[in-house]
Amino acid sequence: MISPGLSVRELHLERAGRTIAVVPVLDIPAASVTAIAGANGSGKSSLMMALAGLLDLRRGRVLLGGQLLHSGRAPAPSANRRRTAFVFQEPYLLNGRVSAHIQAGLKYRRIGRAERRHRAERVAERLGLSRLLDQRVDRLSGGERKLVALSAALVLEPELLFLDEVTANLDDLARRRVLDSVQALVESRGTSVLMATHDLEGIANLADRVLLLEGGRLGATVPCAATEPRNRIPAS
Amino acid sequence: MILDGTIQGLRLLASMDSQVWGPVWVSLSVSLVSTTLASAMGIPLGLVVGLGRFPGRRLVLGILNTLLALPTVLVGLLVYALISRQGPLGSLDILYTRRAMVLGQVLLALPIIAAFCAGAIQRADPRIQQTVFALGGGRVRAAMAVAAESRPALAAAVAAGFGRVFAEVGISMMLGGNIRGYTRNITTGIAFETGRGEFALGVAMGVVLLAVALTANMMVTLLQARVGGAT
Repeated sequence: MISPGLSVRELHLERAGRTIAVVPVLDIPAASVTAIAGANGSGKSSLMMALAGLLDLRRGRVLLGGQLLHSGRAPAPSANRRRTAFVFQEPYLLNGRVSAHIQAGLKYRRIGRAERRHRAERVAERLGLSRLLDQRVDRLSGGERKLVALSAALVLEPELLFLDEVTANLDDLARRRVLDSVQALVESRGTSVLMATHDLEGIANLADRVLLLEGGRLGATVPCAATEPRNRIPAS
Repeated sequence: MILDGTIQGLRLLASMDSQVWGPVWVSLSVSLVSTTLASAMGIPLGLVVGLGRFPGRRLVLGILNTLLALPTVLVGLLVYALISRQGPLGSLDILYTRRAMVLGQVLLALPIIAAFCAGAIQRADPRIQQTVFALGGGRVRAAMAVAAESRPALAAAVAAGFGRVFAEVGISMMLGGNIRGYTRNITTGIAFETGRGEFALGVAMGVVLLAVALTANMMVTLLQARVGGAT
């Protein structure tokens, strides 16, 4: 039996009166990686933010491990959101040192200072950011900012991780480190990962399935071995 | 007359004349206390109005913006009616005291600080809140983060409130009564001394008024440059 991961029921997402996505039923098993593909402006980011409890839902329910994660108005309750983490396409880093930003989510969870520091150092090392920990965030390059934002999410070891175009604009080494870190989290913590991406080739070895978002509807899930365009199942 | 008065005024300042520095101290102490109290209420109010989604939010914003142009004599009149012997707060017996001046100045500065803060918060990058929510923070954490990231604009709001109360004359005159050595401040002092022909004293206090206003604004400019250069 597939262990319960993310379940979506009768989701209807609107922004400024326009329907962004309608998802009647979606089940994503735990400890899996699912990619959401779609054209620019197809609503991938909005859909993921809605699933994460960061956008209002017109109707519908999002469950994680059988427990309600989000329904109705955003933001979802903090206790629910603390089971997840989200890395934005254009991340904002809270003003201060890199280390402080990576530890921010742990601080919100009232994790002690010593453990926060230890966990931040461990994640930063994995992503090759150790030398930047005491750097101010405004001194970072675009790629480094993305890696810091990812570190702040990975350090939380969430049950569900949302990644929005996380490998875009990264060099090959950074991309490999990112994908390896995500893979390690999936294997060690049983985290479910949902990632919006254009880079289907880049994540071919990581993703278990691809969902195609077209016209506000998600296509049927297909195994990632079938990521060749001709094999993707379009939205119904 | 202007040149003579200015020279004499500068001499009075240099000689640490108590007729000049007494009102300066009253102005500084009363305005700093009233700005601090107004900031303690105005910044949270600005955050709530700037970030909140509640019915009547636009109305509150409209009221705050209208109160930006509140005449000081009107505030003085309202507070006078409240704290005069026959008023509902007459038992406090604070008319013609510095406390009364503080009360009036708080009412003057509060809408300025709240409205400017709300505007600054509304202009803040929406990703700040989203980032805090995405990391598991609640609304209070998000509001604190937005405030922290907007601190140059909040400092400017506080400086605007301070500038308004430091330069006002209506409230100080009506509620303080211009009592020498007790409630006489720079603005009521300038009005009083000029009225009785002591032009030099008026100029001396005017110089201090301008110097303090300049210092407050320079501090905000420096903070904005420091934080702006860091982001």
